[in-house]
Amino acid sequence: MVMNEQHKEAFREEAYELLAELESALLELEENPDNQEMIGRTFRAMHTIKGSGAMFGFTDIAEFTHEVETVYDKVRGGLVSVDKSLIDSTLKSCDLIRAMLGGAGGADEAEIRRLKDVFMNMARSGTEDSPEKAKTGSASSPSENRSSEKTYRIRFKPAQDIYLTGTDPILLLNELRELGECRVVAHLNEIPPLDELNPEFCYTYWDIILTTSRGDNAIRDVFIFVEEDSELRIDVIDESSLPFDQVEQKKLGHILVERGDLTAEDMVKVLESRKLFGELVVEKGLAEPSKIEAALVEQQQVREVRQRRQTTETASSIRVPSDKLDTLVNLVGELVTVQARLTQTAAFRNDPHLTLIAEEVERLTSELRDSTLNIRMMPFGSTFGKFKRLVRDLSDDLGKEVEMITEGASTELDKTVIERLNDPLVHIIRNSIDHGIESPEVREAHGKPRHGTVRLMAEHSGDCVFITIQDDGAGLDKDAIRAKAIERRLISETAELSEKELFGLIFAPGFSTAKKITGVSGRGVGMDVVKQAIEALRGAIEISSRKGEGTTITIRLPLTLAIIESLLVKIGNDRYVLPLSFVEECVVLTGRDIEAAHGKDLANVRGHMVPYVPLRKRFELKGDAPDIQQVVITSIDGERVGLLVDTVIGEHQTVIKSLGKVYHNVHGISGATILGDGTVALILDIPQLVKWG
Amino acid sequence: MNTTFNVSGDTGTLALSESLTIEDAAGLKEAVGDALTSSANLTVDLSAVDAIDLCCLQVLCSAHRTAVSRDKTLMIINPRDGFRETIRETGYLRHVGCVDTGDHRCLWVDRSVEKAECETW
Amino acid sequence: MAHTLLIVVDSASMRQMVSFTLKDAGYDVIAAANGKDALTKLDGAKIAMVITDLNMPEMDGIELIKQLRGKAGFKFTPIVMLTTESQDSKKMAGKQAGASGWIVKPFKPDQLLDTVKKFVK
Repeated sequence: MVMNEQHKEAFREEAYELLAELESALLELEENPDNQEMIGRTFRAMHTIKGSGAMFGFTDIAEFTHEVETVYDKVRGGLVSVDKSLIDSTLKSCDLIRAMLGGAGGADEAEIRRLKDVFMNMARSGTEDSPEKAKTGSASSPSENRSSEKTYRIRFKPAQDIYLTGTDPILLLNELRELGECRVVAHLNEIPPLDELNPEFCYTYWDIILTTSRGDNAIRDVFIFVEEDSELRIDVIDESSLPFDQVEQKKLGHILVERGDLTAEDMVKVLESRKLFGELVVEKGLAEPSKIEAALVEQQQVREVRQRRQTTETASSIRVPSDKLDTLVNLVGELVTVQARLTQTAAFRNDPHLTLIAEEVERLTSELRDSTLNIRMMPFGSTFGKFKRLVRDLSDDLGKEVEMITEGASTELDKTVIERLNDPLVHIIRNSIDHGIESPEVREAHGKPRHGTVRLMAEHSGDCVFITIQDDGAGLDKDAIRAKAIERRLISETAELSEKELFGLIFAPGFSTAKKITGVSGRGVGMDVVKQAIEALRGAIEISSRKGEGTTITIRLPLTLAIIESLLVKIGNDRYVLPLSFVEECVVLTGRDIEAAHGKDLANVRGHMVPYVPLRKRFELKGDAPDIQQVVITSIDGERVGLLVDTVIGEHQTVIKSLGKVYHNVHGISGATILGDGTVALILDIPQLVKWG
Repeated sequence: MNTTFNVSGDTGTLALSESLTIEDAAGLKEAVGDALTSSANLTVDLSAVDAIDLCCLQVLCSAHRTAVSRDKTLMIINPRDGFRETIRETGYLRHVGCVDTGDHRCLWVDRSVEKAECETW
Repeated sequence: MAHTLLIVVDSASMRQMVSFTLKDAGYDVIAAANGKDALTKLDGAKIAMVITDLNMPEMDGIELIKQLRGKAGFKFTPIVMLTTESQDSKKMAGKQAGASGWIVKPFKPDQLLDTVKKFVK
């Protein structure tokens, strides 16, 4: 049972991935309805979901997907063409399958039945007008285009007088061998005794198992001159699109029945006797031994081909549960910590041998750290399909025409970051389409193109990734924001705010500028939650906008969550860690500077007064501050704020450890780390400290 | 096609020559048929045969079948590369013998090749 | 030893192209302009394959095929006709006369060689 659950889980995971892939294929297909590759991908994804679904007990999914697959098989064959309604229905199917994956009651039964009917009708209509459409279909997509490998079973029984037409069957067999991996089994049972033998006749016939990517036509070409007079049957018995481990190996009996070498009744009889199948069939004289052998050869070849396929597939990527990766990252984190201790000890001992070893360990650790973190990286583009889908659905719902443009698909981000980024991005995109992009009529009236554009871009910069969501909609209405903020008592009526500050209000809790509550944008719970989520990822969010031209939201994110570059500082006897991404510079603060500021917490940085948070006071630490202190100047949302510390120790690679639930409510601390000497240092949550300071 | 036939006791040896192609099939049939009539155990010596085609394989197979039905034996000795190539090319090389050869050894069974291990019954 | 192919084509340019292609691929070629010419040029040579046009003066392709099939040594010889797309009835007639296959004109040298490989080892 436990095993079974595991498999089910694995299937769910795979199915979710396939569905995501499917959706992007479908959207691509909508733009290029003739894209054979996308049609193939859609078919294969459905096929896999069906096959594995049935195997792992998702019968409902298998049954449902079967209908969809049937239609796409026809699309593949050119019998059904791709149009919007097909894409719509298929996208809906994806949702339904997702719901069904979720478990009992997850999916709307009536909707499933309805869609099933829709697909069955499409499949039927595809058959009716097939002759005409089939022709055009095959003309535009000759089978040579399909490069996928298939395994064929060929039964070739030449006319007895084939030699009299100057053809040697051996040459035909050899020609087949040139097409790919080929196994040939001759059937000799029709060779008569000598007195009945016409030595110039061909009594032999063959079963040939051929694996080739050259397509059916190449095989037909081999037999072109003899096809008319011979018995020739070509069946596809295995396709590379079939997943290797999810299609059951055909049983010997089934192969024989399929080939017509054994009747189904005989097969059942033999099976009932529960002995070795092949031996029994021969023993009872139900089929020739060579027929059994041909069937065995078929089994073997299909197995080998699949194994080969499996090897290549597994060689290219391995699926690993993410908790295993987390463990690895944690271990590497510990290693980094120990390595820091080693380096420190080596420096302390002043032992050149030990120093040499410590340096080597440092080098290896850093490489190990980089490649381990790299494993967790995923291309941001893996999420694009989902957002495209969102844009499509929303614009349909709202009666707007919106195109989504994505850039930077290959930009890599930590898997966790990508996952946790999903909800904020959904929110932002929703807002853009709901509040930003105008209706087609309004846009035309303003001299803009009817359809709006939402750009989703990802870009690398140093140890950060910038994600930008840009729309060419109406832009933010400063007056409306101001009015709303006053109404909500977020600002006073007389408050003078810069544009940036004004836009920043959008991120304030409970703010919503939409006059009308729509099902799409929700009820203004949006942007403050978005900001929190981004900050929880140690990122930052900024908004800029021009009325009538559009809005741009920029999110800055750290590359990874597990290990950060940081600044190590000391206050009293304790050490603290500041994420380096926030730090701009460090300045010295003397007693005289404090006097000059007349008791205010302000530091003079090259003529500019920068407020600072005196951490010693803030943390209520005992003892006196040294005469010369340091201010670490940080930048948050473009604001410069200092943090007053005793001394700055230097840069440090920090492995983040979470503090556990007990400390969850402690403000200003986001985690802890273990230093080289084994002591614990707290990681400061700078945005929070600044906010609360 | 040249053939030589020698009998010693109840064992006859038929030695075939050079190239055995469809043009020789009729002659081969006759020679093997005669040899089979005049000996209880027939040995076909292929030491001089460097090429053989499908038709002549069929004749040998048919002769073997005829021998079995008459309670005689027929074996092939000294096959050379040309012969091996043809039984491989034609798919005659096999692991399982015919039904009606009974306990007799099928001409084409290659004992050196292990029986296929892939039997999924 | 190279196989000898008999080429029977009316058009000199095509005859040249076919001969050249085949010689280049290592075959020996006897080239003739029509059926009658072909029969006289044979001179007892052992022919591995015949490639013949259908529409020719003196003796056309169909007649040539018929005559060849009746000749000693041509019973099992592959005979391929050169046809055009519209000559389906001719193709049938050729087949009935004993042709082994056909090549549709116009064809590329590679297509010719592929067809030859179907018939000559």
